[in-house]
Amino acid sequence: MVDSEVKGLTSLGGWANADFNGTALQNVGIGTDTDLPPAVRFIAGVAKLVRRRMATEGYKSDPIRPAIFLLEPAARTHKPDTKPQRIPMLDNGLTAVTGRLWFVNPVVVSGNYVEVDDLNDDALFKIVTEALQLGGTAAIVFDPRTSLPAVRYYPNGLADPDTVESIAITSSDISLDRIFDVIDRVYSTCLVTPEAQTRVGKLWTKGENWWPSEHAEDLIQMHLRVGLTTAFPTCTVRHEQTIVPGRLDLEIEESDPLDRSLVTRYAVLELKVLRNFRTSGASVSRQEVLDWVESGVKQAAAYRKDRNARAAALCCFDMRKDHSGEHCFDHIHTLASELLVKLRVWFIFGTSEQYREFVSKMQNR
Amino acid sequence: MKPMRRDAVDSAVLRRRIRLVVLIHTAERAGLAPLPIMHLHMFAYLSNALAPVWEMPVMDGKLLKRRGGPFYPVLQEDLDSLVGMGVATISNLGHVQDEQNRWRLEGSYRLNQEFADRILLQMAQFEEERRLFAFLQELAYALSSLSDDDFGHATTQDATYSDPVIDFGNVVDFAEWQVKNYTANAADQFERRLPGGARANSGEKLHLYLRHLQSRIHGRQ
Repeated sequence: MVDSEVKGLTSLGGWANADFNGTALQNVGIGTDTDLPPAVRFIAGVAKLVRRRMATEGYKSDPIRPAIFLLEPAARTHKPDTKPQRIPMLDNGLTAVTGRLWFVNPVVVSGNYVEVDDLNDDALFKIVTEALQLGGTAAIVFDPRTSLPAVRYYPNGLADPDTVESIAITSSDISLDRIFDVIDRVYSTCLVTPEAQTRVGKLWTKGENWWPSEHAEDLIQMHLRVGLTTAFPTCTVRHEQTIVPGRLDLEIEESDPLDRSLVTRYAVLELKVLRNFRTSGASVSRQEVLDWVESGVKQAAAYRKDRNARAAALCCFDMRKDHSGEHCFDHIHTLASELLVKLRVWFIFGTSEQYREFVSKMQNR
Repeated sequence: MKPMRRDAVDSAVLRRRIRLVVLIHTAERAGLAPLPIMHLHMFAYLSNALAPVWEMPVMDGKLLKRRGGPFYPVLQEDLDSLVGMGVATISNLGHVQDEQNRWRLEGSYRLNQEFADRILLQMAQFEEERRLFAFLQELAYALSSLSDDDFGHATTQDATYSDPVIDFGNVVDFAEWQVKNYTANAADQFERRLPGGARANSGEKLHLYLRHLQSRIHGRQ
């Protein structure tokens, strides 16, 4: 017996012979997104649930009527003589979801529902907005009536039906190009200038002096996780996993809808922030930056091999004074090509003036 | 032993009551409200036993083992005080006799938002309290996958509380004088059990622990 067991640090008491592997295989992925905003978890939770239900035999006999999910855990009913029904393990896909109005928490592992009759869409919306007075509550509508079932997200609730986003629930190959498209969107809406960054999550300590915040890497990673989870809600985006070759920044995987233990790993992403200055203002040498980029390529390749992922990429966020574009990869193109690591860089501006100057320079070329 | 200073006592009471407000609040956000008394004590127990998984300090590392499940007399006193102050409300009120033939209040709790919101708002200004909130919230979400019946049977299978070495009427000690926290150890087991060698984070470990507990309640383990 090892020392730690003697001291009780690892002992399991009556659970010593428990089948932990079995539980882990059946339930992998639940709770991984613990620090993401509730709305993002809600989208991912409903998307996974709907995808799972649609893959079951039981789905064929489910009512061909919409399901409405409300991000409101306190269930209530529009019919005085009915009581909401609680489903504790909703995410197992064994319960029909259509023809019902669901009250769920952001993780969507459980929920309460009330049956909704065969009503037209307007009447259905009115139940939520008028009878229940929940028109401002974030909602997702799953409509199985169309040939390709649609899932629509209403971030401002059903009282604002014009603000709506489509959610992808069909599983499809997720390529690096699609991942880069998502990062492009995250970059242009959340990262490119300090104005695009949220007040609580600024990437710069002194943008005018090109001093990045000490949290820059963590913040970029968080923005990417939100963007990737929203774009690929049936996937799990894991972050900061400590594995044998090192600390893997981001991994995008998807479980089979019926057998969660069958996991497809689409990509591993290594993130690097390139900088001229540390948070304190101390300068960073050119060689250091070159070394970061090279080690990033090697890390991405090692993680892809370790995780048996389909693809690997090094994503650099350039917070240096001069925008060199793809030239930051000049010294490692051959290595990256040999190791099958894709390279992309996004330039982050310290001030909006710098951004405007850059845009104008590009237009005058 | 030196007596505790009055302000230290007040501070301890305050911390306990804040934690209680957060317990009920997170349960509400998970869809578990109104929260029956015994469910609340069960939630409090698991928040102690599983705190190391979130790298949080254990607030109360021991309790008396009762057939009816975890029950913290001090927490109950605090709860009664919160009701008296109007911070919490009780519904489905009744009385039940415990295993020692003592009468205790039975009911289900929720917060009075008018008062509780102010406490929660103040609390959110402190990093330590935000971490506590995040932990309890994820635990509440994980607990929401249990049925009412599962809640009633949870301690018969919990790795620490069900330890056959400890008889009913004795103290279950997992973080006061001993370090044998089978519950946290079991949750940590899941870190390296995922398919393909992925690593479970703290949130996933809480959910997996509760899922495993549930499968044991239903005799699937």
